[in-house]
Amino acid sequence: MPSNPWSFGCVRVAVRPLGPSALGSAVKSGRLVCSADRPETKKATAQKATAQKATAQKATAQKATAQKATAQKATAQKATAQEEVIVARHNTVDRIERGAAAAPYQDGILELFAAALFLGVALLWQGDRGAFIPFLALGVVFGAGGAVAWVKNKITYPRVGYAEPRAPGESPWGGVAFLAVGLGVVVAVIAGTGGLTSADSWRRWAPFLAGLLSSGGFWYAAASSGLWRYRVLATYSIALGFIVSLVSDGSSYRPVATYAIGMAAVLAGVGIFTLVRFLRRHPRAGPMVAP
Amino acid sequence: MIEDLSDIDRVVHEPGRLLILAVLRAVERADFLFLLEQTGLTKGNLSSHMRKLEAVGYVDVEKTYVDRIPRTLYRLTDRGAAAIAEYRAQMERMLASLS
Repeated sequence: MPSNPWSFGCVRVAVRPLGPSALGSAVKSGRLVCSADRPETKKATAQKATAQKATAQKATAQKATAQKATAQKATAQKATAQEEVIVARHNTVDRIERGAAAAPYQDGILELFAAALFLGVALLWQGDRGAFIPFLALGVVFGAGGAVAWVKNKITYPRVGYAEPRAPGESPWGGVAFLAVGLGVVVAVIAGTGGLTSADSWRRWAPFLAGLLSSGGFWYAAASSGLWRYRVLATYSIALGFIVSLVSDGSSYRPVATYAIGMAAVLAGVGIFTLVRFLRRHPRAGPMVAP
Repeated sequence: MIEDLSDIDRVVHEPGRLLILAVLRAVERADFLFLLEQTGLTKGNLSSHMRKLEAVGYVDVEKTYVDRIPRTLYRLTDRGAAAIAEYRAQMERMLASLS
């Protein structure tokens, strides 16, 4: 729409074209006001405009600073609230500690290595190569730590980070007492069933002895991690050893292989289940460095 | 009890740092990703808390390389363990006084 410039003294405005009668009535009614009768000069107007601009800029800056401070406060409050929610979700500090202690065992790799070890023992024993078992034991002592670490470096640590489990805080005398009582029970059973000098009796109860000794490792893992599955495995180890011994006739050490196969099968099942669950829950993340 | 309240260790009392210290109390050493996973904090938040804990001597930091990938390990110091124990005792005293 074309517009016509209309001058009223110092102020020049553009209005829509009006007819003379419409213009007259607008001025008369006060809807159209002319500022021509103000005493300000062009310089004064410019100074006023500059001052107004400066005031507006100052106000805008103050508003921005206030908004920034409010946003920062809100962010800090949100972060604190988020942390409080996280603590509340964990429920208690004890629970947080229990979760952290169990975390290094959540991948099932330890069970898989133990299953491989029991399988090795079973194969050597079953194949009448029991003499090689000490070499297997040496391999476990000197190589298993490195092998577990290598696998964990590839699977576990990139996903959930690295943590060294803390040794159980309980007194070591508990473990010593457990072993002493266990050996005492085995010796008493052997003495009661065939006499301590009877080779048959020793052969018969060898799986029970193996179950008791193996359970020590699971009890240690249970004490370190607080996980119930290691308690179950320890109990299973003792029970399996006892049952295999009960049904054995003591003519050979073969029942030890049966016990080892029973352990390997359960440990492999538990390990695979735990590992699959772990991999599903924790998709691989990139390398993590503290910022 | 007011003395207890004013003496409370504010480094430990902050929820995020309490989480971190609780996690580190349960393990021997842990890296940044493990703490991130266990606490659920954001990277920036965790990093800022770790700097504070390191500054007051509650946490030791060790930087290593595994397969040429840097790994930052954190360990709770004796001072940090003592601070948590003291904080827990203070909180228990205060809660006991409320009941």
